[in-house]
Amino acid sequence: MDSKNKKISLDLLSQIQKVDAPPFLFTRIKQKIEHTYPTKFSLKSTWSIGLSFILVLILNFMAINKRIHQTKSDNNLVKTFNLMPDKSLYK
Amino acid sequence: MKFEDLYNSNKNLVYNLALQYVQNCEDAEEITQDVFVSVHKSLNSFKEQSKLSTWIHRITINKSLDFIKSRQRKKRFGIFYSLFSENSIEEKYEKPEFNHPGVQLENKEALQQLFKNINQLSDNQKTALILSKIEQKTQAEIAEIMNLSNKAVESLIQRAKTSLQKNITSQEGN
Repeated sequence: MDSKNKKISLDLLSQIQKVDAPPFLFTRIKQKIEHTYPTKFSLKSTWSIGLSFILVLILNFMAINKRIHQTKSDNNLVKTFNLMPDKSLYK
Repeated sequence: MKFEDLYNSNKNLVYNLALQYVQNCEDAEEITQDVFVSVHKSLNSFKEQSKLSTWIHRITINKSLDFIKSRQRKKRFGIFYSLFSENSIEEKYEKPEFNHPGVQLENKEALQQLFKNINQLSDNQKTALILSKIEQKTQAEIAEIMNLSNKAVESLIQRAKTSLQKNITSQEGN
């Protein structure tokens, strides 16, 4: 191959034309972006979830407290009336 | 800057540059998608130390080279897998056909041969040659995109040309 032909070969690269990107690409990119990032919660839903969680904790706390009080009063009742707390009748 | 505006002003740059690396429409579309997902992800962290177009060029080049490497890995894995399987996966990972919409029909065969040789160059030589000969960038622009000195770019282009000419000559000799 002579030097003239070599030059022509490399010059072919400059004859490559620019083309337009396909029009549907942006939709696909948007879909990919939405798929890549997890859906973000809105501030409103974040607050609702947080408050519900706190409410459940408070209700649990109240229920446990009530149960402790009830056990104490049951014990007092047993002592007052001298009841046997266990089930073994023939001691 | 709104992401959609950024996409509209750079989509052709990314798509065409990716095409020069993979010479196939479907692959270039995939790379373009990956590039803009990356751009969207790191747009907030982009510090304007370099120009936006330089930054997008760099992302496109890296994504294109990663895409080619990943395809080569899959092909290697396919060869390994085919040793144990009757249904060869190797065929599935064959290099896709030359499908470059920017190439005119009369030049298709010659350019296909030329790209075959360009694809054998090192990553840096290939990038320097694509930016210089196809994208028509100046040496200073290439140096900025590749984060190299002007001298280094000049040397890369020269070595790429020499190696290409050597390959073409030897193929013509056969």
